[in-house]
Amino acid sequence: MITTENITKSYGNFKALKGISFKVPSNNITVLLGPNGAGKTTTLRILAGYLYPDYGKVEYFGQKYDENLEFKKLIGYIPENNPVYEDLEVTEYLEFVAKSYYLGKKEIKIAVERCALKEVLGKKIGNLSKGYKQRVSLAKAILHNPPILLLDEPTTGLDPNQAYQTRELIKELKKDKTILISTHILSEAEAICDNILIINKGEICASGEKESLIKQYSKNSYVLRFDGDIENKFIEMEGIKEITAKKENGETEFIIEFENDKDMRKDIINFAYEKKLPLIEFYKNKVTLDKIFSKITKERL
Amino acid sequence: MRAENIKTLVSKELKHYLNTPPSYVLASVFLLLCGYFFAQPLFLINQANLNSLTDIAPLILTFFAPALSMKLIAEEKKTQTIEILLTMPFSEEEIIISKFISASLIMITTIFLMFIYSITLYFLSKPDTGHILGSYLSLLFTAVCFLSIGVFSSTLSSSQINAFISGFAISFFFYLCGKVTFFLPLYLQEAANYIGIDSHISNMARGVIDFRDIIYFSSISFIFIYLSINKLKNMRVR
Repeated sequence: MITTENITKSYGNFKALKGISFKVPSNNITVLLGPNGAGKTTTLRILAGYLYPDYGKVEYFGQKYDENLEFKKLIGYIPENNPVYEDLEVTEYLEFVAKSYYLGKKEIKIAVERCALKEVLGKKIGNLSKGYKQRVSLAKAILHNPPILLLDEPTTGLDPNQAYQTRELIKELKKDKTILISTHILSEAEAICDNILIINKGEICASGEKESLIKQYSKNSYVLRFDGDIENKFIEMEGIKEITAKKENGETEFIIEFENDKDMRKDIINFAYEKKLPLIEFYKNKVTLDKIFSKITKERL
Repeated sequence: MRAENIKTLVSKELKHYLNTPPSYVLASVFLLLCGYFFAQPLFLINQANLNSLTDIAPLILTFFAPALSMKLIAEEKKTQTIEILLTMPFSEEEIIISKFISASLIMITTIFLMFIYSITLYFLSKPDTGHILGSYLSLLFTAVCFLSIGVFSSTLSSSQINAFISGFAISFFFYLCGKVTFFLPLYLQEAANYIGIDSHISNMARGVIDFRDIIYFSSISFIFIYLSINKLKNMRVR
């Protein structure tokens, strides 16, 4: 469990973080979402102990973080842009990391197996593909089996297959770890996270479990598509809040939003049947993370 | 500060040096230049000593030491690997000291290779061993002192070129200080003479190991290492 309280960080006159407080639960993947320049990297750098906050405190499992080197052993961290020592071989790098944590070859072997690095062990990191470099960093981050993983945009620049593999590996790791990932790739966040923190302009705008956040921003809205040019007869239905109509390619689309939370699917189907409307497509309009993200971040502009 | 951590970091730094060709090129150029200044009096005026070398070597070191140390922190900043290093269980002191030690080890090895030059002197004449050992010792102290300046310069920027230029400028100041005393007012001469590296080298090169000279070299190294540690710490506060 990571707890932060009122963290403030400024770079000169620019306030990167304006007193943010949040909690990251254990055995969970929490995603820190935000547009570029929102303060994601600064937050992760403070949590990883690379930067010191101007004010505020960070607690790991109830203990206040200080400059004690033992605290650093709790954290596995991949910084933004995935920096690596390009002139070292994979083995040399992992041996260096293992020695730093007073560990041996056994731990290197486990990390190598988990990140599937066996075939590139003797190669220089600089000669590896982006995907392999990312895996090397992940191996470095998990080698000392830390209870906390902080990953700053871990799949940026990877091809879809590599990104999928990295996400699967991260999902596998959540069993016994507290994982905080920063990203601005919404599809990735949706695919991987249990909890969401949305940050914008140095402030936490929304936080909570993914499902509850989606529920919070969900509307009781339905999409109906009809063949031909259809007149809007749905205003006759009860409890309508808003109807949007769109005519395109010989079809008419209605997005109907209701005021109540009741499941209106049967009522809509019955209504369309009664009015003999040529319905060709019908579904409940689901709120996606990108819609929530866009709404929250635009609200704060 | 843990010795084990320093050992781990020094070993990593040495791998960086040994895995990259510029280190070898740099050491070869240094040895060639020193070899030339060693051989010149030997063949031209039949003098079997290291005077010519100890005169010019500090000037060569004002280039060589910053060139060897310019990448130590600047490169880590540029490639952002400094973020990896500072989030691992190492203190700033351990990081700076181990970088300084690793560069010093490369420097000492290079200077050690120059012993081959002086061995040839024994075949040609009977040189003063005290003078030869003193000369090498003065070179070692100067090199290590300039390296500490180089490490500090490397913390100032993420550009290796900037780190080299500032390292060279500071080292050259110490080199020049002792050379220009005659042009200074009388009340400044003594201070400039002490600050300049010249007088301390010449004592050692004569085979006189004075405790005050050792304190001088150690103080400069200590001050610049201390400044480097502080600079690295400040980087995290920003």
